[in-house]
Amino acid sequence: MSLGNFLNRSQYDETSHPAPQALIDAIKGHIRASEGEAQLKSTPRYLALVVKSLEQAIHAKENGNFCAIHSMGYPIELFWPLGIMPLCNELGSAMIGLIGEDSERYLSIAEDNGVPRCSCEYYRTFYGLAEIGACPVPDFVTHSGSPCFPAPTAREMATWRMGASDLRLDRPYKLFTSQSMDYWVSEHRALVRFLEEQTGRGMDYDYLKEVTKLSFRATQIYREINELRCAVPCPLPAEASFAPLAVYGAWTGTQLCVDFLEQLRDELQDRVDRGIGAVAQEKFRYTCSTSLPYFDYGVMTETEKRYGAVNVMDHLQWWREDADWLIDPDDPLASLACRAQFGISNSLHGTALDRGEQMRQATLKCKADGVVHFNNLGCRHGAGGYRILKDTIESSLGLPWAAINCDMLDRSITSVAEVMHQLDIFFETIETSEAYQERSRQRRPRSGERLGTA
Amino acid sequence: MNAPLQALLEMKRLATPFPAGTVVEEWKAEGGRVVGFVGLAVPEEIIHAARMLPFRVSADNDPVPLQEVDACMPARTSASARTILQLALDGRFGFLDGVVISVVNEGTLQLVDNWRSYAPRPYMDSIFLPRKRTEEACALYLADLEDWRSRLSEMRGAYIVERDLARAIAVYNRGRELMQQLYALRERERPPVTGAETLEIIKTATRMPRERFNDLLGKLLVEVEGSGREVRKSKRLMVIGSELQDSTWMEAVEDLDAVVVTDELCTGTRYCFGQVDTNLRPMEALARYYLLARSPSARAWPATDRFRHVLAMTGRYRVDGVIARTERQDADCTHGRMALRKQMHDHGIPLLELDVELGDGRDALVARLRAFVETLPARAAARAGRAPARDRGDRSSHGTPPGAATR
Repeated sequence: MSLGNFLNRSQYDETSHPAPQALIDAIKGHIRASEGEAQLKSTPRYLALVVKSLEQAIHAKENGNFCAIHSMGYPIELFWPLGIMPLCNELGSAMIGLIGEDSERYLSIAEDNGVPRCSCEYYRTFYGLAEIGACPVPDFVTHSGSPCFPAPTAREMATWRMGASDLRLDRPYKLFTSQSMDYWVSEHRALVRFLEEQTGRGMDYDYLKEVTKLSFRATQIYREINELRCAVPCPLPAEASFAPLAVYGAWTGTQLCVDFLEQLRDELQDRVDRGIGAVAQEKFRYTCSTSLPYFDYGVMTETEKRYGAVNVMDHLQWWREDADWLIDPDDPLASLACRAQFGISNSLHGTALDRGEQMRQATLKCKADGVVHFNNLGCRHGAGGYRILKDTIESSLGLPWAAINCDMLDRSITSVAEVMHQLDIFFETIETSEAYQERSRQRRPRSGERLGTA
Repeated sequence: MNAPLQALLEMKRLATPFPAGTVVEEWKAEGGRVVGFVGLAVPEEIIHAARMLPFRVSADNDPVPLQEVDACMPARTSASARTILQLALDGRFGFLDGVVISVVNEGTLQLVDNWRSYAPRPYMDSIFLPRKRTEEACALYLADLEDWRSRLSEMRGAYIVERDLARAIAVYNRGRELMQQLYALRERERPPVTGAETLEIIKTATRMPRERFNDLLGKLLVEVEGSGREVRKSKRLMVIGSELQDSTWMEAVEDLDAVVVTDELCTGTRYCFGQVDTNLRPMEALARYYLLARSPSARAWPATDRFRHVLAMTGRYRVDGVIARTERQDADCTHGRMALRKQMHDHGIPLLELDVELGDGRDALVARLRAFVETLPARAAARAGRAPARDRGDRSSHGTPPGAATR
């Protein structure tokens, strides 16, 4: 029984892509508009790489390649040797908010077409984009239990809408048992078979080994970037806090990804060496126990300006332990399967207790003064672990915690003014705490030390 | 109006008050231990073989006031999991010596951690149910079950041996056989039991020693056959979804001119259809049954397997309409709804989609049900002239969903 041509809409014309191009043009416009304003050279470059990623997916067929839509944290390394251009649906959804577009339109379209409100806003936006033809028509869709449990069925829904084939990677939530790893590796093998069938091409395993090494190299540099974010003052401004995640998510396994992360790392290292922080007077450091507020990135910029508060980590960008996942360079599938254990965008998948522990470590390591929990109303997964996270942070670290109700992509749920008001209270609370005042005294630069922004 | 079934009254007497009924109290009084389980991926046979009483943890017919649970799992998370956690926080599951949760969705995953953190029982465990029905998935599930068997053995203080597992499988297979006989009666033009009664029977199966349940169900089947009971309703309905514990919800459906003749629920056919293969090693047989032989849920991939099964069931039970009952926050079920709608439409099967929240008022529900049932007479009248089930997909053999053999 085929579900192909599910609704048989005519706008899925494989030869014209006006709407996806419009999204790309909007990002390019955003890059031009912010020219000269960026603190980091890496900021426009990362946006350009996102554009490039979208363009190569849109034009995949013209270039003799294939296009696959995939979920976050997916092993896209397997795509490159087969000429498959990846398009991460969460990345596309997040970019809409990041460039100042309003996702509400797409969310409404999705709802009008029967996508339930209980579905996460990333998937609903993606579905809305697909519905009006603003998303490239993929050759196939690949999904997995990363980053969360309902992700696969949401992708399946969009797959039917697009009349495409799909494959699910079934990810066990306990990844640290030998049987789970065996299964997870077998799922990767099934993915290779699926991709080979879909493309009619055979996997070049020598190529894959090289890709896997590049991906591992990118992981190492990513971790170095995270280390640099721990420096006081933190050198990474809000404008680029999404950069490593976006580029790693779109390009891991390529030299482009390694080159970009190296450039960003070197830029941050230079700032650390010169004592340059994201803000002139770093006053507060906070981690996000959720993803960043993509519904309006201005929140983070304003937080820097208004409070001297810098985001030093979010739960999507934290790597577990030493992230030493290249267990066997000659067995790229086993190694890539292992990457998911340590990987970014990973924390929602496991248990809340594990997530709480990972956030505790991140918060401690990054010397944060508090944790902001953008309490995403579309995320039931995060909501169910909320108290455990809060208790872990408050009881084990004694740090304050702010939960801000919002939708990560839908601005109509909570106004920016309301968010800032809640942050006012939060940072005021931190400032008056004795623990903060003591930390602040310890961090204060001694005479002769430099402090400032570029 | 049919007279109440005496055997069912006895089952309910033993299973009340909720949650720890008379029979549980008796069990505990004799020094027996009770292990609660959540979800369908926990083989009760393993608990039984450990000489403990498996007890299905859930809500019941009465709505549970949800208060403290909001601090752990807010309203937008799984209503079933929230209700269970609230009951746990209220101390209602204090009689459980242990709890095992099968993690099949985000609700159960969240339940594991929150229960463990805020109202722990002496023994807490969890098992992952793969969401694919492949040999590789079965190998993972079997290995997880073996690990769990070891942990449960530790809790018990003695290893759970093969002989006891085989014995437990025989007991539970007998229970399934009897429950399938009950369902077979509902294939009749005038079924002798209602959907609400069937749900109550299935519920009691998971709240008392299975041997005792089997004995009572055997008596109930004899009683039914001897009584000449018939439910005289003109529309035949099927309810699909995940876990339904509230039989008063089913009664609301059957207060209309309709009877629920079958279901695709975790408290119905998904629970009791099929048999564990006694020719295999017990643990392997259990893994194969629980993962491969039961009807696929909305969480399994590909979803088409589930639709095929639902279509086959509508044919086998000559269903006039299907009610898709979805908990409002169950993303997996709701994600599949658009495709389900199309499948039902393509096969000419009327479908009523109901988003429900535990404790929802009945007036709005009944109004929607009535409107739905009233659209069905023309189909019911046409039933005699309609081609039988072959147009509705693959007719499976009794209790075995298509494409899902036990081996």
